[in-house]
Amino acid sequence: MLRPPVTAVDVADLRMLFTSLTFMLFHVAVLAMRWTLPRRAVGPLLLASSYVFYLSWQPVYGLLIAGMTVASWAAARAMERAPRHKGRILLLTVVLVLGLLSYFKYINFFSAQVTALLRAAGSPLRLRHIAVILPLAISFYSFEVISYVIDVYRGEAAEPSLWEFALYVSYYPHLIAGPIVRAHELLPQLRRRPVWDGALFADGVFIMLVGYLKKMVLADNLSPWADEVFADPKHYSTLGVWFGVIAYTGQIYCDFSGYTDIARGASMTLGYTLPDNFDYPYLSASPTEFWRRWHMTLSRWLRDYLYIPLGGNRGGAVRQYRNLFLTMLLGGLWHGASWTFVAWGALHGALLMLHKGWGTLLSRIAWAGRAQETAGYRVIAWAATMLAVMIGWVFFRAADFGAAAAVLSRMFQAVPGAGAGAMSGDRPAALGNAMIFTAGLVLLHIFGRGRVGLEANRVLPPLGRSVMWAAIVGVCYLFSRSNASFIYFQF
Amino acid sequence: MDSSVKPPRYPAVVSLVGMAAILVGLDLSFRASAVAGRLRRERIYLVKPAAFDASPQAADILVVGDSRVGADVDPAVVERDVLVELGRRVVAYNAGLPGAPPMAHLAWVRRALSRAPHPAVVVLSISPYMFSSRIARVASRESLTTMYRVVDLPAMARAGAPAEDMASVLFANAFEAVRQRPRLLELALDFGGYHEPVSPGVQGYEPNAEVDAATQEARAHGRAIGYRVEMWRPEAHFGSEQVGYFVESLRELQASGVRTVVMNSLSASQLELAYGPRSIYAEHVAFVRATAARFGATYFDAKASPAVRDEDFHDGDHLAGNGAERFTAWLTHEAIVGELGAPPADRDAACRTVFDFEAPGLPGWIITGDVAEEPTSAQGRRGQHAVYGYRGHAFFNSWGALADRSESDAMSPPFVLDGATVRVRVGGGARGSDTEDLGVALVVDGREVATAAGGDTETMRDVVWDTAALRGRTAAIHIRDHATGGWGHITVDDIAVCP
Repeated sequence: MLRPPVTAVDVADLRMLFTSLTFMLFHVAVLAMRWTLPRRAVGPLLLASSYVFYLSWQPVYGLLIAGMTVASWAAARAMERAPRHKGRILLLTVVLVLGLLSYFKYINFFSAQVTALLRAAGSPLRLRHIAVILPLAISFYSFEVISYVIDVYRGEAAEPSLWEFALYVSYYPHLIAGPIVRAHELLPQLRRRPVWDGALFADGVFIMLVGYLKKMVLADNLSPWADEVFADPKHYSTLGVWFGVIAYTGQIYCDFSGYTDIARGASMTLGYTLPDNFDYPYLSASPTEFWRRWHMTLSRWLRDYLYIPLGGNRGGAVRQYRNLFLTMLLGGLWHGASWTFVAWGALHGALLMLHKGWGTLLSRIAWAGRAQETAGYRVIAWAATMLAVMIGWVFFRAADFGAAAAVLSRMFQAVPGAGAGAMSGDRPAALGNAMIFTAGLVLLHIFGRGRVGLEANRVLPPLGRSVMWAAIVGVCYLFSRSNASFIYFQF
Repeated sequence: MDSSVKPPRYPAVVSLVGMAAILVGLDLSFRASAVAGRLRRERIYLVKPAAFDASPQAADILVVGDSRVGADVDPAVVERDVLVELGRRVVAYNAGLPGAPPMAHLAWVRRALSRAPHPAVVVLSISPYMFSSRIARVASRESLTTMYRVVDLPAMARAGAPAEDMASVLFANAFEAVRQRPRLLELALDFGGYHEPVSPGVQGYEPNAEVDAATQEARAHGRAIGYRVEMWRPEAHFGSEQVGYFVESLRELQASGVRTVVMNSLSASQLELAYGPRSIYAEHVAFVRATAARFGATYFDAKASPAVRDEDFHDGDHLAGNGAERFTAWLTHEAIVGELGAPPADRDAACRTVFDFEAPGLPGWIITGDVAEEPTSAQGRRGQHAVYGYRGHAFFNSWGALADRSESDAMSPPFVLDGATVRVRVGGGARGSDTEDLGVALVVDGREVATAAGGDTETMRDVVWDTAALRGRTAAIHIRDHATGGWGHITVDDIAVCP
């Protein structure tokens, strides 16, 4: 029989996105089994479900996650049994994990740089491009197993059960795009006798619904205008480009924090809590505060496993600045094999250095401490931080430096256009949507900062809560857009 | 607070159940509302399957495909010609839907197989774009959310459907608001109005209007350009999710013992532009032919049909009404009759021709008025458009010296009704089919028992009169033309008595 090839569309359809109907049915089925099966079956159920979830994306890379799991578990056990060799075992494990990560994620990036250097030196040699598909979630689970072996090296107990450790690595709510969970946060929960906690379950449902709202309503409605502007910034007026950057600023937050909310909520409905990843970062009044509120589990990982081993705050101001800068530079590279990500990391490294220096300077001025407490200072600091963050997002979003420069030059060189829209004077629907949903983003911050929703979820009677949940579903039904993927899946 | 009322033990579960109850309640209210009813009547993907389900008799012959089938296959002609050739009364249904890919075909097949008795013959019309990697997905998604039922999920799984597609089917069946979401949002958020209700057609058939050659040419060219996007390499390649659905349809039909014809759908010559050497057409045809053979289905290449010419098309790949009549007759004769258990023999073998108008003069006929007694042996007379569809070399033509203004009567010699039907080919004006001024009539005992006329077209078509109750009686044919306006003439040929 003639067998036609499987197309890219077919492969894409296999994916179990959090926003897909398949995932919703999958999670409901796992939930039903999790709370009805005998307690001893819960662990195996969740492990099997997690592997089904992961294999639905790209079955062949199941071997990679399984291999990395076994290797890091065995390495940790070996460190416990042979403490004299634990340094070498740790080094071997970290090199192995980072080697795999580098191969899959950075091999072509590095070979392109070497080729460019050879060309600059006049050599005709060219390193060939290797056709390699980035295994889904490799950046996230690599960091998790590294953190685990380092924690064991530092004295924490190794996990005796391979199956529980495998569940920690592959647990489906956090597997694809975090939060980056530390072993000591999840493993004790997995070992505990599972007990039904209605309040946790209700919080989980609410947080999941808010995650869907952030992703499907806000992020997916903000993205079309951002996509248009970043695709061809020269076509739009200064104001239009600003709205494009604002739209992307909102999109990436709602996309990633929405994903995290769904992950955390789903996990809570299963009876386990995951660490929070976002604390309204766009309310930050400094770069340091921003990184305490944005992708908190990555910031924490970089601090504990990169910044502190580099020397941290020790060794004087210059060394501290160097460590900050290097940490953010590598943090940028972690996001993707591209110089624009490196530039984004470098920008944030520079901002953190600048803020540190600014803080040191102010600490020497007597009245400056009081001035920092004023509303005026805080507003100016917030505006400056947001401006810097948005400039950073331009590098993060743009395909290359040329595209980033085109956007930035439009932002800071006044090019008039009719209203905020296109130069032609049209007001594309995508721009109108971006404005409306940016207002939605502001409301989300106002209500979220005051924890209005979560508190209401806790104090409302059960049926009142039903109405609130149904209302959120209704908003998602009315305003959600097509099933776009999540930005952070590519990392 | 009354202390005797205990708070629920599982408040979160109560909330979850409450939310589900609210959502289900809202959906049930919507389902029962006039809004939902109107929206359902707007969508041909809902209207046509519902009309099929509601038809009192199960279809014996089902023709499934995209809009090409919808416009090209006239079920009345299938029924007529099966009756003429085999003496068998059948019910035919045209299940063509705009853009419907094999995904929709499988839904039709399963719908037909869920009724008793099963169809005797199913024709699956496969268009060249259907297995292209660049096939437009809108119709596929629509067929999933409208035509698939929960009982079809196992068939979807066998067809290789991804889990997300099956989940969409589940949700669309569970919630009317999900099924109707695109239009409901247009109404609610964009303040759009209702669309006109769509018609399922007569037995699913929606004929197209005739167009002039220049219009047909221009439309065909436009469609050829469009198909090029879906057919040309390297952007397009052969292979899509539709393959699994095609295979599953054939598998289920074979398992149910239903005779199946896989038809390569027809198109005008202008579309060859899209099916040239850069296209995936050859690969497509090879696959369709091989797969049909694998499941014991008959492959039928409609593109080779001699029955239609470019001028019979409404555009590049949809026939106008007259072309559809001719094409359906040819399809029935060449493909369907054989599948019904009779060899595809000469359609005239079972019939006795009583008047073929081939002989010079009209021997035995009584002619009055302005009409030449010689049958027309060219394609038409002076001032008359070309006539198509006559058999042999000549036919009766009431276009006289005064053109449409000519008036005449012609009465045939008597003949015996020794069969169950009388078949007559007729063209020209349509006026008078139920009045006295223009038409052809069967006369028994001085009384007209059946009449017919043309369709305001020079393309002749078969009309069949049921004369089973008159078997053994003597009859005559009366051709009259007292119409003097536009289309005031009639053409007649090939009058036969059939079993």
